[in-house]
Amino acid sequence: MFKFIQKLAEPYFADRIILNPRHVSSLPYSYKQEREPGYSWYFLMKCSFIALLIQFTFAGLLLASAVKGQNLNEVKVALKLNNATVKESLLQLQENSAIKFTLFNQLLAKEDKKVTLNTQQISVSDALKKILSGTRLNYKLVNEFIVIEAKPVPPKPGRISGKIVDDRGEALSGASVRVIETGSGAVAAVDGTYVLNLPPGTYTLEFSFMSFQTQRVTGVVVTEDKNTPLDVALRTDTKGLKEVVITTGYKKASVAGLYAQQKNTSNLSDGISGDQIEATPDKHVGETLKRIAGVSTNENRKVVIRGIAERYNVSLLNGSSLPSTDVQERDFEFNLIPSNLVENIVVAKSMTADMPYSFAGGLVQITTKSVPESNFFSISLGNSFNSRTTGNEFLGYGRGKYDYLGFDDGTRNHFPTGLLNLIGQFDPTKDDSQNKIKASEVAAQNKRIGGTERLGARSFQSLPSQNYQLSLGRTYSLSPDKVRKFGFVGSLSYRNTQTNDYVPNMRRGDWSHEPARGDDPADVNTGNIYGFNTTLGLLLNGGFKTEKHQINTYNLYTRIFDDRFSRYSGWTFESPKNDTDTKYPSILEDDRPKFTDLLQNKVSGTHRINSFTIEWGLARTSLKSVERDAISASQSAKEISNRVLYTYSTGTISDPGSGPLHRDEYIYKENNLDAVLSAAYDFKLGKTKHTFKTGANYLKKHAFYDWQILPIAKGPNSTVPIELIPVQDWGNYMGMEDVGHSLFYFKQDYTSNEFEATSVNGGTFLMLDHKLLPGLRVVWGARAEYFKLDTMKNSASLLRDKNSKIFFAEPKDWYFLPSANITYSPIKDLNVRASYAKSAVRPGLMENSRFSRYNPNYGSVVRSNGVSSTLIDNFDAKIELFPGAGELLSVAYFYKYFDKPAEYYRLDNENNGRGYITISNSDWAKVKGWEFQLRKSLGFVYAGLPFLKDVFVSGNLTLQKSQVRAREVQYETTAAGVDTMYYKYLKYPRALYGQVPLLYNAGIQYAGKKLGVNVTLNHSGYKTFITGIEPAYVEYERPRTQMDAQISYKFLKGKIETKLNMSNLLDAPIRYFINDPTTYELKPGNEGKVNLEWNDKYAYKFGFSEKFEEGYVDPVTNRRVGDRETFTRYVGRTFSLSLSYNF
Amino acid sequence: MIKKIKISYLAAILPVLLFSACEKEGTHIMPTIKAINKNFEISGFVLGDTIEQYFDGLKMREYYGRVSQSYAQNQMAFVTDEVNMELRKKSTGETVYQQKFSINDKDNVVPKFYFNGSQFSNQYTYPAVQGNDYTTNFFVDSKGASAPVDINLEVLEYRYDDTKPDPLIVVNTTVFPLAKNIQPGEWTAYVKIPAPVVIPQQSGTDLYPIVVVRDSKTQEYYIDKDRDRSVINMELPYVGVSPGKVQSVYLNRKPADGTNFYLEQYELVQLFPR
Repeated sequence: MFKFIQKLAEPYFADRIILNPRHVSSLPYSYKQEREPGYSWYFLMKCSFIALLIQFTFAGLLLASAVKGQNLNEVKVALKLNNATVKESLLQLQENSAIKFTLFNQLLAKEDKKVTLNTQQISVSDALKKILSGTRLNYKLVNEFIVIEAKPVPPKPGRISGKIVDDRGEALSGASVRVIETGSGAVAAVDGTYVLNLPPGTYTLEFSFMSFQTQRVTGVVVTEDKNTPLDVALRTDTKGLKEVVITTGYKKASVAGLYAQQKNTSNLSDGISGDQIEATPDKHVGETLKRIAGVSTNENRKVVIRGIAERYNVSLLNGSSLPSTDVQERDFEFNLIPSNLVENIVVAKSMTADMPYSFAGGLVQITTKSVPESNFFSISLGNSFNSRTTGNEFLGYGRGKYDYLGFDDGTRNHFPTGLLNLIGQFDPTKDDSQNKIKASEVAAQNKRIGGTERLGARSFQSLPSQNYQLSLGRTYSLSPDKVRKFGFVGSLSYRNTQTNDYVPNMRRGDWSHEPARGDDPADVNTGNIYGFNTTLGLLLNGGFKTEKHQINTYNLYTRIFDDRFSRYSGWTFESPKNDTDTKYPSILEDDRPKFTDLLQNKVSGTHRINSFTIEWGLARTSLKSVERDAISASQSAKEISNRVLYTYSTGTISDPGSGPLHRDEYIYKENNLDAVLSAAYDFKLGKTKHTFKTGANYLKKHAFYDWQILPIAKGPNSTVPIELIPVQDWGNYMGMEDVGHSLFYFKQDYTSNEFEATSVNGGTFLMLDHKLLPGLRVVWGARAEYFKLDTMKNSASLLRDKNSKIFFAEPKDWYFLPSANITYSPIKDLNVRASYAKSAVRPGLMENSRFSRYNPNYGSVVRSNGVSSTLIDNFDAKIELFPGAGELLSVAYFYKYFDKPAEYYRLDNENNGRGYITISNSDWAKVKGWEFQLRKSLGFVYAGLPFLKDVFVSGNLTLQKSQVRAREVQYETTAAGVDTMYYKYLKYPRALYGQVPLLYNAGIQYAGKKLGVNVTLNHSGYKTFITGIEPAYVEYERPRTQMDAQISYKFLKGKIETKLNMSNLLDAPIRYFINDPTTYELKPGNEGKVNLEWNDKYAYKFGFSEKFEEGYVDPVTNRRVGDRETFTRYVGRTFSLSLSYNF
Repeated sequence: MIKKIKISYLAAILPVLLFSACEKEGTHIMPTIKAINKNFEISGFVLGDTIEQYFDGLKMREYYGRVSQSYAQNQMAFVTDEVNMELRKKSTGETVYQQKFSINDKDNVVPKFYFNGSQFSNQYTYPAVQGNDYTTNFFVDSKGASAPVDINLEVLEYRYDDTKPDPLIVVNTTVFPLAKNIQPGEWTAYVKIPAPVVIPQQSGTDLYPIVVVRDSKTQEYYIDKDRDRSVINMELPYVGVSPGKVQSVYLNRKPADGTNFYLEQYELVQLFPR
């Protein structure tokens, strides 16, 4: 028999103590567990000791196999225990019984039970029971040893959760589910969801609801601490009161539930559920949107659906519209919303009358979680590296101390109130007696505004992007047998991203459009766009639901600090390169630090009372965007003997504008109030079911925009040596002691510099939903929609626009918008759909402002000519086949007629060859296209490889064609002096703004239990970027193919998940071009004719077309003949690694 | 649970605080100019090999042919108290001249220089005037063409007819060869230019002497086969009127716009007066 004596000198390191009764008396009653000096030595001792212990223990057990056990009931002992610990009690029992004990010190240390047992005779088994009762310890007899061990931990319960729907996909609130084996059950909440907590095992569930066939699902496996999803679709009981029970297997039932939801939406839609999102490595919604058929995003901001541009798509967060985070363009940064908080994303592509907002491409509905199915707490962190950013030079103007936290430290605050307007009131060439505003007042104003320390490009170390997120979800049930659940989901996230986009070619707008000599490769305009973005996000949703009622609240706050610093160098359209004074390029810098706060609060409810369902929602959204100390500065180059001297240019008092160097502040505030209310009544006519639904919605927007522009100028005779003074020190030369030779802020206001407008969008609808024959559903109705835009203040931002007006031609306030959807399922798993809807896309608040601003990346001023609503007739047809769970094959055709589509135009009314970009209504547009979609598991390829069932190939293809009748606005003043406008209609056919005639996505995805791999390829064909009235103004984006890949792996039973995202693996550039006038020529016989339209007058030369052709350099003229590559941008490859831990 | 939240919060917030302490000011990419001296001068002549001009190790420009300054090149900016200029031979990178300029100097003048492709000197040397003789030598640069050329003094007898697209009607040409079969890349020996004495062949005509370059082999005019563009602008002797003169003529055929060429020419005796 094996015996072991523990060394007294090393008690702390004993994980297991085997005591020989003969030596028990030598043990102290208690001993200190102190760590001796020399930790490493002890650590080695500990390792050796444990290894030896394990070996000896198992060896001892093997050797002892021949020894027979004792009958513990027969061995009697006397015990005298008074308030003794468990350990002390066992030691005494051991000593008195002479039976060998095996004790685990760590287990005994956890027990704080005190034992009092004084007896002269008690069996060892009874003594053990008394000592160990109420503890987490157990005993067993192994040969001659009594082994004290921990009681087995009871398994954690698992869950079954899902949604109970009817065979048309509608939630069955109040349906019940019962577990046959245990008799326990649950009732579906108002949204049809249910949750059952059960010990691990295999169960049979019974689903039932009045007027529906009861359904039993067998073989539902519950595993420890896991959720088993099971959505079930119940069939209508057509046989009256006769009890019918359908029994089916788990897999079949689950698949049917999924089918029912996919197949039976009343409109054409695609989406992605929370479960599906969980299977992807996506971090935010911007990444997830791209996975939905027919949806693509531009830099995670602008959503393109079916190749239709962002202007015609609407994005809703929890049912409320999202304001644009950019004033002059419609976009929303979808990367603000973490994917793991999303319940689902549905993109509706056809309309029903109950949809409160009109669209033409699609309606993106993002719903975040409100009440989680189970408690969770997770933390995730990640880094990303960009091949063109990380480790490279990162330029920008001076930063603030708290930029990494998303807040300004005050160094950008140079815009005090009550600044004096110097226009016509101060001239530095005159003395004080001739100036209304004195030099000392200007000096004081300069001091109030502050110095120029932040100016001047400087280099920073670019850091990898980083993101952190904490998410917490809690759910509570107030009743064991009824649905009385409330819960909340919260998330706190932080992200800092730094990007450096390289622009190797800039030939837009004010920049030179071609090299002065065709063979000079150095005559090119280049630049970089540096992006520094810090985003803080706080989301807190909560809800309460019962069988009949559900109330949710959604709250989202995001703080974004986004600083875009563009720096271009090159030659301008007006001053192309030559060998004398413009030998070297000039530099244009533009810094736009923008702080955005977005707060959305929403309360919504659903109530089901008998046959009535009432839904309501009330939301308030506020956006405040402050662009503080935005700086535009240009530097001219001068070649002196020993260097090229770059000097920041100043404005002059004769310059009626912001001049070459100005610092600005732009404050945009938008408050939206959004309310929806609807009531639906379900009724039967014979065997057919019908729903009557009516409701109303109201959306009020109030926008306020304020801007201040502070040019830095000097007098015409100033001798301030700006070549010698670094721009960051210019503030030291603003004291106005020598008036004629100082620098000063030339504050100039031509107008009030304000814009304020409100819009009200109201609507009411009636809708009927008929479930007629088996497999036939007709939904039809109409909306009456009201829109009114009131502009209270509308200042011009440029002097030349001071006397211009915006002609806002909204023909009427009310529109009647009918819609109808028909779905027919002639055979199982096949849907045939057709729909028609009329929709109206309304102008944005700022789209009718007189505000103009230079966009450095467009090389042009962007302004508005005023736009009105666009009416769209939408016709859709689709055939869907669902061959298996999660599988889909569909073909769709759509035709849309746009009445007065709003498009971004480049106009050149001043005939300067560069023009500006504006938004304006064309006459009409027609868009038609085909859409194909496939998602299929590879399980059918070879049954011998089970993993193939988890491999899905997916793809979608959109082919479309559009045609626009463009028009050009003409202004005229009548003899009576009244300003009027009219349109000149153009025959030149071209595609609609934002159109992509060819768009496809292809992907292969493997989603195993631990490993996930996803590779996607996205191709976008020619896209109309900016339109115009002739080819020389129409800018296209060239086809682009992007490849992304993701690998994810789960560790520790899914508690830790790592994700490696690789995006833009091909480093595909984003390239734009214009069909240059060198590529087309006059048709014979048209010389001298001036009133012909382009296509009557011109034809493309041989070898050239509307598509991109690089062309050649004409050896005779040494000029380039070919399409103008207007803008090329490389964003680099991004590799991001993230790790999340679920507690 | 609270402990876990604390740990997680700290794990998330600590890197943020760490990065918030990162650089705020950055490094300005535009250097601060301490002074600008506006009295920098450089002049000279380079042939045979290109001279590269470096300032503080940074190449600014190349010189070939006449070295001169254009707009604003008389200015020199001092980022430090001293500027180091080097002139390097392009083919080898060898520094052939070096000069340092101080921020305290009133003038920053580079002595006039002549570089013949191998040697750098402060003067271009040429013979003294011999009596009333007009002597000249020629250098035809091999960069323009490698074929040998002839240079003649040609006297055009012409009349003027402004009814014609080209109103100058040449009725007779008298040729005085000056140098034959000139090999590009080498200075010719000095030759004497004769005073052109020609008797008109027709009445109503005038005489016009020109020095012109022709291709030795084809006898076509050197520049685009065009007489007027192949003319050398140099002084010619007139009998009994002119004092003696020495001329050193540098010629180079260079591309103009498109497919055309022009004749670049410098007279080095004027550039390097004694």
